[in-house]
Amino acid sequence: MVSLAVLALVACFVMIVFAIIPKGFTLTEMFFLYFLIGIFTITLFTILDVNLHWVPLTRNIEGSFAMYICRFIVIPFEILMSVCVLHSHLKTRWRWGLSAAILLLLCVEDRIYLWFGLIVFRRWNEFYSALMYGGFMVFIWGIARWFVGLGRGGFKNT
Amino acid sequence: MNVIRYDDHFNANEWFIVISLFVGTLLVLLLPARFTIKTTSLYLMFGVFFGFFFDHTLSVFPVSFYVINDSSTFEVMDFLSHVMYAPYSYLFFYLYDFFHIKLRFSPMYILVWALVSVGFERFAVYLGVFHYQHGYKIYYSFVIYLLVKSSWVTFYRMIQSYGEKQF
Repeated sequence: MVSLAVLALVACFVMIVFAIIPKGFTLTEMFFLYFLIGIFTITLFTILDVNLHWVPLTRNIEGSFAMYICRFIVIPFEILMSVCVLHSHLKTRWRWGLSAAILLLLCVEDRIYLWFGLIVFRRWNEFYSALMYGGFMVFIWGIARWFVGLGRGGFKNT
Repeated sequence: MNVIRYDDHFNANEWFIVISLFVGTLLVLLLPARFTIKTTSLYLMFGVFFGFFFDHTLSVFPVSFYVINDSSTFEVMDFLSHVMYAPYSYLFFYLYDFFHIKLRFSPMYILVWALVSVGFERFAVYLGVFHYQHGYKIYYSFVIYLLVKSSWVTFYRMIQSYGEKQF
């Protein structure tokens, strides 16, 4: 039960940090972004595993549950945190520096998944992973900027 | 890993998804606006996310309780079959808000929606959108619908109370 316990612990740390940091988004915006990140994470994992077989996931029960934690908590909340940082009023170098740190953390976690045999890199490597996570962060940040500005001065007919 | 394939044609299951999407989109556009654009987007997203969440938990290893559409690989139609849930969740929140359903009547509302959902799923199974395996029964979906709808009511109340609060 090591991988499951470790991933649960990582998820717990991620949630603690997420709860502490100032998010700068409303609850509606955060739910929307979390759902969007969740959908993209699931889609990417499924395509890389089931369709392309580039990053096959483990087929054992414990590992599968550990990967659920990773797919629904660890990765989405870290991406969401990076979007919060990118969207904040911090100085540019701080925003990009902190986002790079989160990206590094995601890459380190990839190594953990590899150590535990939760994933296998076939036609894939850590550089591609870093590119994917980086692109993912910037893409979601773009969506966040659009969504925050959406319907300013909007309507509510209740 | 063996890929399960049921058929390669554009038939009943694909038409069901396309027609449901079309009718659902029309419904969302034609209904008088009731929420802000952001809240509307979120309520649409609820259906898509929960569809993804449960379908990609129950239809993958270790359980693999069902195959969605024509094959066990992820296809464009599978993606659209999740998008199909967007108008459905919107309608759930819309009617809940429209009828000003009180908390004490919420379980009844949830039960009605769970039964309607089971009916739709039964029809979708008949048309080949879902292919059950490993002993999965539609009664299991009923329990999931009850849980999902209950969480939606909780989320609705959270959004109504704190939706515009910045954290």
